[in-house]
Amino acid sequence: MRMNILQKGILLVMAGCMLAVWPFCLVRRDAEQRSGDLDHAVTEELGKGSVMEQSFRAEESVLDGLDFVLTFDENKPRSGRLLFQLSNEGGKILLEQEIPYSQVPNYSYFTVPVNKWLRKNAVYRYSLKNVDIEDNLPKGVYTVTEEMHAAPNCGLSLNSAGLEGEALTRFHWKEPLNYKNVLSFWAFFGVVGFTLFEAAGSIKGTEKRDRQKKSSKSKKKEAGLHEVG
Amino acid sequence: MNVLQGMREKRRWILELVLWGTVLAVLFILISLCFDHGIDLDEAYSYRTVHGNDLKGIMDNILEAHDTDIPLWYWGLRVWTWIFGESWFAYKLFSVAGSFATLLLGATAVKKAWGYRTALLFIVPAGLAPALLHIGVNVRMYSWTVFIVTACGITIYYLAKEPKRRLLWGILFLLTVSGLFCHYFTAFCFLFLYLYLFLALWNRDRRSVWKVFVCGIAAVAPFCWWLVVSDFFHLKEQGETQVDFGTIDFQELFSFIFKSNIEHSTLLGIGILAVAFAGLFLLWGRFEKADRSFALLCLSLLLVSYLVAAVLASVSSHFFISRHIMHGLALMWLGIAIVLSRINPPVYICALLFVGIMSMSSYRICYANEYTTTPYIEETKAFIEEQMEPGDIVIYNSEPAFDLLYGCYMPEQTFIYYPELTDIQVLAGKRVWFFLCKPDFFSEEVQEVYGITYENMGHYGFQIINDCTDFDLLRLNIKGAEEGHQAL
Repeated sequence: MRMNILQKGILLVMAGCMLAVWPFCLVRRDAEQRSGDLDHAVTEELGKGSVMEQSFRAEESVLDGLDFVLTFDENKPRSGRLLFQLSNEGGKILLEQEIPYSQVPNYSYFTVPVNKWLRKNAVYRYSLKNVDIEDNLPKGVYTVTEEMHAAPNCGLSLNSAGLEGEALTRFHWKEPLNYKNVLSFWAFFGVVGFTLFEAAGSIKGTEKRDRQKKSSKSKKKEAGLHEVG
Repeated sequence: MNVLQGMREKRRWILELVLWGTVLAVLFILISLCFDHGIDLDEAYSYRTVHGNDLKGIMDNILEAHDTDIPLWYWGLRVWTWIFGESWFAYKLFSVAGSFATLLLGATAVKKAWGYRTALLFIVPAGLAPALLHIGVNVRMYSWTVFIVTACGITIYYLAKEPKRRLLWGILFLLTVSGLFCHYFTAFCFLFLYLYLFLALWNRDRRSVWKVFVCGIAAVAPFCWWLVVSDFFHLKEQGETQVDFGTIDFQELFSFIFKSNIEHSTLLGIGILAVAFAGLFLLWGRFEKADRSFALLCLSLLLVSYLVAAVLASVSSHFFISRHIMHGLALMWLGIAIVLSRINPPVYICALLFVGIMSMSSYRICYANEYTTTPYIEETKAFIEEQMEPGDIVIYNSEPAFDLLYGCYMPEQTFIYYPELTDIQVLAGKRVWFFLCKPDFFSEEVQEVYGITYENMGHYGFQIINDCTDFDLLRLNIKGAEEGHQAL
């Protein structure tokens, strides 16, 4: 079957879209892992310059967002900043964000958009640093029993001193699609691609060019036969 | 030649087997979802309208309710229960029958007009697509209205080609009347189907155009009579839902049609519909004239009738939700099937695969809705049978309309919506229960004044869906206020 250049292009794009779904897994679905609602404890106050660090293992390759929880005893600070950092095991900072305290709720999850590709099963770390406030200090919240820990969490420390527990965290992953989703997307791209393929083959200009090519080739062939004759 | 004929005959038998096998498989899937005893509020309304009433009683019920219903479907349900009994299974089977009728259309009329491939690509979503699977087992009229509008569409397709066939005009008339008397929103679909027929006959056989008007007017006349009899309550203000045309949520409509557990299913569904439109226009010359205009009608009917209905609802304060206009949904899938089965084999195979996976996902959702939302129902029914007596009073604090649902399981009890309870004194000394759906109970002061004590009999519930929750069931003992105490 002769294909024109448009049809070839459509097939290539279609194949590319299919490969992007699987095996390259560029289309993903949301997945969440979070700490339990019971057995919470609270850290000491995070003084100015104090850092709370939580290590975690990447359960998926894409981390879409990460939620943490802080608590404030009486009044929340109206000014001041919290520094959020995400780093790999080697200490390289992958994401850094200053968050005004005015935006951080008391004892509720606060979402930090991450949107990063991580190495699956590698260990990473997020840290919360009190940059500049000296009163109405925040405290970290963490779970103390095994069953309440968020599954990826694997080590909590405050100013480099280890704590018996894991920070209250909610992970927003993007996980690869399962086979049903992959087949659905492939089927969809197939419907789109092959429809456009058919439409491209019906375009009058390309049909005329194909006919002209065919007739010139057959003329050359005849001429060749005559010469041989 | 005989060998060729033999092969063709064999091929035809295989295709028939596949087609009818698919119809039966879809039917069994629908039936498999009918064994639960949970019902939602709308199904409770259907049950309460029909149960224990003859045909006249149903009519009186509907007129008295001054709601938006019309009696034909309820009469059909009543006749069905006279034949098959009054079990929940029998009620749900009536809806399955409506879906099955649509499947039969696929295996017969669709196959005859457009071939086996189109029929197969139509049958699967007509029975199992997200919204259509739900209505196939929901005790409401939608599975039948979908069948009626689909049959009407196919009849119009044939009439556009053969306008002299009186039988078809008779069928069209009956279907139109039936549709209007099952759900008057079918009028929006009929409007455009008749418009299509008018335009088709104007182009092909102008002498037959008058038949469209005669048939349409004759079909609408009984409905006009009904409007008079029912005091035009369908056209009056209904409820508090005001539709603002500027904020109509098309995402909600498409989500209703296509959403499943597949990631981005709504977008993919919209994409399939868009590809069907695009394929029709890009390959316009490939389709027969009658087929392409009919396919265009089918693809656009649902959207156009939705828009018109939404516009009317926005100016008339009539309440309006997506399912009220879903009667043309199977025709939309027919349009998709007609187009996608004519492009090339890879498109057809991919479309069939897409529809198959979507249907599997839709089934899982429906199964969960039917069978995992009634964890307490058997214990609740047993408790009612063992502990409750005729004349017992049940106070509930869920939503005001839920007495309709509870009454399906407890026909001999009286229900009082807690916020509307004004006189506690009249309950003194009576057998009183409380469905504690949310923490809104008598205050301590009231309990003291009226001598209210209670015993928690356990946690119960009916179908936990659409705001209907499970509850703690309390047995109340109300002594009444002593003399000298003011009633609160």
